[in-house]
Amino acid sequence: MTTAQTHVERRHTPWYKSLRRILTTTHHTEIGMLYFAFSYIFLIVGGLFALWMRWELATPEGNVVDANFYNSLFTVHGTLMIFFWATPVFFGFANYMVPKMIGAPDLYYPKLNALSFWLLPVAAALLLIGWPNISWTGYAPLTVIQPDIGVDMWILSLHIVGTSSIIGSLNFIVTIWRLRRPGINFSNMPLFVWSIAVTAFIIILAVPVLAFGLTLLLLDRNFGTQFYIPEGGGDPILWQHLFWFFGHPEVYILVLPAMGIISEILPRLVKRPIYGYKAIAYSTVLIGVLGFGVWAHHMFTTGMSIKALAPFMLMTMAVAIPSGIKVINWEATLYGGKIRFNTPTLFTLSFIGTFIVGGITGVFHAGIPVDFHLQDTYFVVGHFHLILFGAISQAAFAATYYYFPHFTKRMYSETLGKVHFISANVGQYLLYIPMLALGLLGMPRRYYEYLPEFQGLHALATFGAILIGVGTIIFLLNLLISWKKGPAASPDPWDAAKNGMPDFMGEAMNEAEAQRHG
Amino acid sequence: MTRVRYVEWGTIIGAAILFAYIGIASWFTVSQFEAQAQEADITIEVRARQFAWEFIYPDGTRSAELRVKAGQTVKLELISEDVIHSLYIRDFGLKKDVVPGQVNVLTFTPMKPGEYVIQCAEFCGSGHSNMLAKLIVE
Ligand SMILES: [Cu+2]
Ligand SMILES: [Cu+2]
Repeated sequence: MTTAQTHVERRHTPWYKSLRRILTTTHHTEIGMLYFAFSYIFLIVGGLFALWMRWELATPEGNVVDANFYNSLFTVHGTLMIFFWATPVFFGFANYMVPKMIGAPDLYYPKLNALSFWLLPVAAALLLIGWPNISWTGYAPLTVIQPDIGVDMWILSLHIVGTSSIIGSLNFIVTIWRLRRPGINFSNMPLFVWSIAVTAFIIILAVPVLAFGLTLLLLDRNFGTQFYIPEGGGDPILWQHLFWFFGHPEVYILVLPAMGIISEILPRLVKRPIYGYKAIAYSTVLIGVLGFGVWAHHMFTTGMSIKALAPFMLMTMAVAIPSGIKVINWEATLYGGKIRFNTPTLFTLSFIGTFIVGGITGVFHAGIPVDFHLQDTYFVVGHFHLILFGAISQAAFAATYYYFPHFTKRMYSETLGKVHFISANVGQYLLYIPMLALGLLGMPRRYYEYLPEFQGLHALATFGAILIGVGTIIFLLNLLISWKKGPAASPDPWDAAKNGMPDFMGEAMNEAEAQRHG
Repeated sequence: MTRVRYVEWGTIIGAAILFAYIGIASWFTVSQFEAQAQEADITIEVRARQFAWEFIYPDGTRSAELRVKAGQTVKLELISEDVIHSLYIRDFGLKKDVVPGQVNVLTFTPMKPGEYVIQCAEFCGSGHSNMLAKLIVE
């Protein structure tokens, strides 16, 4: 009963209306909300940069911005969408949900949790003020000789955001290990908690390698070392090994929480328990492990010999298999389920569909001779955007709609939700299919100007991007207006508890126990 | 076994067979590329710099466009004078990075006479998208 009372008290002066509360809160649900606010703001910022680029690319000649500004746009767009949208939005869900799912009162280290959030705005500010123009992969030695101070700020920004995610991950690992209530163990722990645990380990193993590479870069730039400069005995390829040793697992840092959250909401939406709990849980671990053995598939054209590259080709194909296992188990859950066509279900279905399309376009790159053609073309851009927007972001949208009534105690507008669904999905195929086609035709990525023959497909892609943009605006307006004025939602908005699958397992067990003890 | 299990194992085994085929085919294709480099008819040095290509023929002549004869196996030795570039001949589906401090090799045998585009495929700075050259097969 005590929790209910504090809720009522809070309703009088909401915590987010006091700046002091915002800055000092350490409560996991409130930090979770701060993560959401932060990441959705940066989704808009990154989206505007994307639209700006698409506007420039509507015509072959450069006429909207100049070349350096365009290069900054794609650099900042890439860095920002990965580190300030897709990563933190799932940290937001993890903050809000993991303690409730394992029946813990909060994270193990609430103050560190606040620290990992507040490092993010600092990192984001450094990135935006620095405005670097070296692409998000920051290949040496271009990044070494680029005199702009913005590159140093980019390095520091990544250092800070890396620190933030390492602290956050340690916190989640300790929380999941130490604060699980009795009765929740590794054979019944919610799949989202599984995915966060594995993600946290990936972060702790991968991010320090990036930090190491960035530090060498900082030294090369400012203190005359030559780690990446061949004249001094260094090697530019070293950067690529360090960067992609982090960079590929980063893909799984983003996609595993998305898969985890889909594994939570899908069974509750179709009123049928998840099929193949163990297969999904273990495939998460398997993806996490195999994901560390594929990094050189980003380097097939660097001149490494086939003997060095072949293992990476095989590992890249192998890592597709556990992802496929997940897809089959989701489909098996759908089979015989009662599919309700509400907004979160639609986005869950489009997550699965786009994940299949995006995943298959990814497997092409594993074939080394195929990659010789596709590497660094728009095919790659189309592929990973299908995963990052089409799958990962749409999983975040699905989960946002699904948990919105939990967060705000109000319901969003279904009609606007469906409009968002249609515009996001029609828009993404208009945007990314032309990109795949452009890549096959031989259009390299990161081109400010391009050959006139590509204009038709580029114009189509720009149209698709605008459609996605409009949908996203409708989405956010829907959430903001419903937050204030939406109809009151029931505490069990999707009948999850009624069907024996309460949304937050640990919390439900705690409440049942409290009732038993009177 | 339930039906789902059949589908699951069918997919896993089917994918494994497909992947094994792609793996073996890739191995032989790329090994063939690597072997080709041994028996080239002509070796041309390629110098890449921000933001232009230069081709140096065996007789020492330099040119901004690459001229080769149809049916001849051409070996390009790729040298960068500053940052990483990538030589991309889209019509042949061939690409090789030009990395400072190492000499990468790209071998091909053009068959059809004509004019093709060489593009830089690795982001190399403000003029990256203008780093184009012509490939003329006679
Ligand atoms: Cu990768
Ligand atoms: Cu270049």
